[in-house]
Formats: sequence, C-alpha cells, structure tokens
Amino acid sequence: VNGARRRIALTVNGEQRSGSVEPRWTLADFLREELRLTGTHLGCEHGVCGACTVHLDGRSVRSCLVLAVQADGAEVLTVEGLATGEHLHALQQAFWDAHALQCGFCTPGFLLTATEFLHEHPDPSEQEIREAIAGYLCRCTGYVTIVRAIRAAADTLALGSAPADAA
Amino acid sequence: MEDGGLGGLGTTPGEFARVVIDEAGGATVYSGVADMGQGFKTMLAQVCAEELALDFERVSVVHGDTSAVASGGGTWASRGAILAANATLAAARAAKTKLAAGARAPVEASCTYTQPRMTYSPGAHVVAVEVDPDTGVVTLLRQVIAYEIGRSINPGIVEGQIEGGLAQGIGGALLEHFVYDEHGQPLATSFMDYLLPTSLDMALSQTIIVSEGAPSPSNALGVKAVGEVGPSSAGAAIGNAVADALADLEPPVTMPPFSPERVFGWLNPDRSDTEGTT
Repeated sequence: VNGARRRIALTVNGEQRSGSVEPRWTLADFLREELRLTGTHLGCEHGVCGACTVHLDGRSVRSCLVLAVQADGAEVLTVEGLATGEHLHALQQAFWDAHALQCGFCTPGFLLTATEFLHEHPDPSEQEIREAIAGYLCRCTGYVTIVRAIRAAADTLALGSAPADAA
Repeated sequence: MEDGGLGGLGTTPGEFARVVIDEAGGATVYSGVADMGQGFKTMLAQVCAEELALDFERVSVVHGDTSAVASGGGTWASRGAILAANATLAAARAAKTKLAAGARAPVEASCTYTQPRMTYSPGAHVVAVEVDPDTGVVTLLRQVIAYEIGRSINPGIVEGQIEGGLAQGIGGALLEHFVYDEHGQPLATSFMDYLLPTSLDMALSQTIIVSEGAPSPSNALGVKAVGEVGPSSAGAAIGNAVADALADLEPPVTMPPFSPERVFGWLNPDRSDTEGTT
C-alpha cells in the first residue's frame, strides 16, 4: 500500500535505533528527519555531489540513493560517529588544521569517504587521494587543502597504529 | 559601480560595524556581512582584537541576524576584508577612544565604512595546458598564480579564497555552461549536466604566490580584493593557452567553456558530426 510504514531496526554510530519509515524514504531522510542526525548533508539528492555519504556495513554509500528500508539490520556510521567524545577523529583534526573546509557543507561526505579510503590505502600518494575524492564536489576549497588534510591524517593514523617500540 | 547598490571591491556606500567593549574587557563585533565559510568571523575578530590589544578569544562576532545588526550589504565581491574589516577597525578605534577619554564600560561605537575607489589586486596567472587531439580534453599541467594583495589579515583564509577561486575559474573555463534549447528551456539543470570541477580537474601542479609588498593606500588596513583573483584570470589564461596549443589551426578561442566538444570541433573543422562553435 502506498505510504504504508515499515518498521526498521539498525545500528547507527554504535547505538541500536529503530523507527517506522515509508518505503519511499531514503536513508538520508531517515537519518536527518527521524533520528535528527543532521550532520549528513543533502546537496544534490541524485548521487553526484557526495555530501550525504555515510558508511553502510563498513562501505561508503550515498544515503540519498539508499532507501531506509534497505538499511534494516545494517550498521550505519555517520559523521556524528567519527569523534570519540570530545576527541576528534584524526581526519577531522587534519581537516581543521589544514583549513580543509570553508562553508563545511561537503565536509561530512569527504570525511566519510576518506575514512574508508585510508583504511584501504594507509599510505596514499597525492594522485591516489585526488582520484579517491573525485566523486565529491566542493565549491569552496579547490580541493588543495582537502588533499593535504587526508595525507596528514594518513601520517597521524600511521603513527597511532605503529608498534610502541618502532618509533 | 553606478547601480546604486551596495558596492563591491570596496566601493560605496559601504558596510556597517558596531563594536561593544563590555565590563569584563571583552568585545563584541556586530557586522553587516554574513560568514558562509569565507572566514569573516575569524577575520573580524582578529581585526578587533588587534586594535583593542585583546586576546583573540575575547572577541565575539555577531552576523547574519537582521534583528541584531542595524544594517548590512551582504557577502560578495570581496566586501568582507575591505569594507567590513575597515568598518570594524574604525568602530573598535572609536570605542577605544571613548574608554581612553574616561567613559565607563560598556562602551560602543558604530561605523559605516565607505571608500570611493575599488581595490583590485594586480597579478599574473600562467598556465600550461595539454590538449588531447583524440578527445579534445584540455588538461592543466601547471598553474602558477601570483598576486599582490596588499595585506593578508589571515593567510589561511587568503590562500583558501585563492585556491577556491581558482577552482571556480577552472570550472568556468573548461566545464560550467548554462545550456538552453531554442525555446529558452534550460538543459543543464542538475549536477549531472552542469559540471562543477572535481579534484581531478585541478592542475597537476599548482603554485600560489602571494605578495604583501604594496598595501592599498585606499584603506587603513591596506587590504585589496582577493576573492576575484582566481575566477577573473583563469578563463583568459586557460583560453590563451588552448589557443597557443592549437595555434596552427587558428581556432576561435573566444568563449568559454573550452569543453571537449568545442575543442574537438576546432581540431576537426571538416567533420560534419561536430559543431565547433556551439
């Protein structure tokens, strides 16, 4: 039936969350409107700009292109889940330090895709970083400082994961 | 600017600022420009803190609220550093003078800062391009941009404005195009059709040189317009480079964007399936 709600239950940023959603709702709608996690930004709503990127079961997805019902039972990470308490994630700190955001609208998408990228490419070249973020639009920075921040975060994360006696 | 509007690049009728120094010795700036990421909040706090010899953290900035700020012209055309910052400086200075004359805190002063002349930053923009003869794609190999900006209140913000402006200029030169059909119906109505530059459209090597050797004589801070540096120069620099690369063909490189379709048309003037001038 058109508009009939479905019950979904999922893990968002480590917490069990549930809600009733219309089948047509996107995951972004559910996160923003139902859970009030408005850090996930909706730019183009057709999968081009990347601002709405979240992790779904560990992989980055555009939450404007995923239906909320598809996320039933999944584990979702949004930008609100990156920091640990008051302690920023290495990427967030690097973006801050490198002035990698101006208006900040695109930033959540860049942070989420870069998190996944650095997990798979812990020591990337500048060109690899450029390719990794080529599907994300930023109108403020010209990408220079974003590339710099992701590279700096790679260094920070490498230090953090190095054995204590390796320094 | 003769449009009777609110003035860009430092022209009249100027921008408003009000500075209040409170009993605790902190200060609040009320500014008519709105910060949407340009960094005005930081920059205006810096200007006020420096004038009042306060710690930067003790200055707050109120903006973007018509119930809190008496008037404002808005955020465009480098009005922030030239008009809003000089208005803030003048208001802070006037408030400080009142304190020095024996007034008791809180004291406040307002200023609507105007200046009659625009303040462009002079500079140069050099770009090396490669044109793919098979596809018409223009690749930016190296881009060097050098500007004399007078004075940098916040170097990070200045660099960010220039880098972002460059991206916007590259978009205008190579990609961005409002296309309409013969009935005036817009055809580029989403980011699928209206292409913004991505990280891979930036020059493979980019150098930005900022000089602060010649402060503007037109205003107390010595600042010049920096927001327009990238977008204003990119189209001409890239267009000239494309024309140089295809010099033998004498292409009519007069109208951006220099898109693959157009460049391919210039490269293949005899092919009937291309429209070199569309």
